[in-house]
Amino acid sequence: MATQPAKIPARTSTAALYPWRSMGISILGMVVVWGVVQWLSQSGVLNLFITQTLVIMGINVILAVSLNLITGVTGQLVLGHAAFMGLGCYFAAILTYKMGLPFPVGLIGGGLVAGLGGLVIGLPTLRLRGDYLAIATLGFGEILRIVYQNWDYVGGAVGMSPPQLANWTWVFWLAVLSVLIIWHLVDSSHGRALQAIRENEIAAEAVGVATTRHKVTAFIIGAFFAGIAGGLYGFYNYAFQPSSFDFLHSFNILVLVVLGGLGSITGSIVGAVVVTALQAALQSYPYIQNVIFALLLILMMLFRRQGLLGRYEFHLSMIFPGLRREEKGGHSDGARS
Amino acid sequence: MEPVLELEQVSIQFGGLKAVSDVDLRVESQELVGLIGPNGAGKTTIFNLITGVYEPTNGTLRYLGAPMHAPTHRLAQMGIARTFQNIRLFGQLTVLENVLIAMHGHVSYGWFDAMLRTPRYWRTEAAMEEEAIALLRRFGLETHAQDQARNLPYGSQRLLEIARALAVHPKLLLLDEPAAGMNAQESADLVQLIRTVAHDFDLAVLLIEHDMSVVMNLCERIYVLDYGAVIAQGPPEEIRQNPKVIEAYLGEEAEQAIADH
Repeated sequence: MATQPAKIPARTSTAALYPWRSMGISILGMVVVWGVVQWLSQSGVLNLFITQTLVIMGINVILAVSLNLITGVTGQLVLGHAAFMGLGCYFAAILTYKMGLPFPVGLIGGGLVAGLGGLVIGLPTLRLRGDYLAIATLGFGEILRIVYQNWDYVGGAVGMSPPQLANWTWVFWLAVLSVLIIWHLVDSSHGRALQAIRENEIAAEAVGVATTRHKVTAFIIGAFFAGIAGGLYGFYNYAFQPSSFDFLHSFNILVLVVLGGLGSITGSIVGAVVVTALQAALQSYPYIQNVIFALLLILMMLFRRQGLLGRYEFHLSMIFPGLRREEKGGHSDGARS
Repeated sequence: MEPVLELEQVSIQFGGLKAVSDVDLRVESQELVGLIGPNGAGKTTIFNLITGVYEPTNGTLRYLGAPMHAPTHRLAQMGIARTFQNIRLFGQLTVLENVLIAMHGHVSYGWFDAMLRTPRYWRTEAAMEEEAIALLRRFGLETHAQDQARNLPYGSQRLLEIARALAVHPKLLLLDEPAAGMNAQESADLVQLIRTVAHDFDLAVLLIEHDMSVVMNLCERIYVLDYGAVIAQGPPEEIRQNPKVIEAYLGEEAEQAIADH
């Protein structure tokens, strides 16, 4: 057995330094991005279409990252993420537009209802594996769609037309907050437990991970953020219908996650940004758009199945090595003693 | 002193098949006990009963004197850890993460601590990492801490499974064929390692193994299982000479192997 000290610097040594410097630069970068876009769009340099695209990008980032928590990190295939989004959208609209509560209350309320939806669908179905869970979540989305269609209070098949209360500032900062929270979660003991479930559920249970409870929690958190994204969507677009949250939309969110890389948070962000930009660029050629997306997916699966970033995370330290939190030790072949 | 583990007339039936019938088995504290028998004798089924994967059809299981009625992860948190016959590591995660996950049952911060990165999060993470590295060092795996578990050589994967099981803070360690696929030297090292680990961590060990040299060297007491029933039990020298065991189960080849040994 080895007795010499390990050459792996413990995280503790730099932990005290890391959060502040890295966080400072991150926050500064965020403020700059937000401010520049805000300024350019208000001064008219960015036209309405580009601003809209950027807002949709932000909403898609929230959707992709929250689905990634469930599907990429925890390994539970879900085909009904738009249903959680729809719950958030409808209940944010009910609370704000119908009942006259302030917009932030409606937004959070919508998120909470979506989280509740995650609990309701998660508890009975999370004993199902893989494709069975996917089918069950797909059914959940379809049921909700039909409920909205036949519920006159929320406009039936016509849907609702709430005022535009969300804007670039709301979307941008909520996207930043969602990403930050989910990233922190993944990089914690709870997040490791979720990944253990994805890797080997039997072993996870055998080392003390309450697998069902963790899966349901991942579902609730993912659904909550999807609900927030839904509220933003409804209150930016002026209008939404039951069909806005159908299977096709769920599938499109899954495409963002798979393209970016299952399990990679930064991958989901890249996926959402790239796909939204591409969609906007091809807006005038709707038929070509679908062909190009199909081709993109096929090529991706052929040549880079792990997605754009695979499971890797992009970190500021890749640009600024001074921020590096820990040396990636190991990789020394045959150095076992 | 109460036995760490006690099985009393435990049976389990799958459809028409009685996989384990009326098994009595006990493991005292700090005792190293072997469980041997031909393939399909019900050894792994007994492990699955002890870890709560299966519910017995009949009989009682007691852990530290109390009857066991808990899901698998609760039993793990109470100190029953195991390794698997077919290695079940978290392959895409790092060696370090594999060990850290096994500490999750004892983690003292909640979901909100994690989301908000409270001081408690940083403190706990640092302490966990320190403990995990110390454990890996013990198994000579610390230089691989940041490697993906699936990239480890086979023997190291088996060691990592044991290290991960120890991270659960067990009182009872169940090893399912830990020496499978190891050569004679590796097996001998493993015997030494299990013995010191069991002593240092104050463990009771129940071990399934086909490699007779490992069982005979390591175990203080051996249970022999055939067709789901215990056909013999006792210290190694008794089992070695038990004609029932030799004839009914071990066969001539094994007789030879034991004689050579």
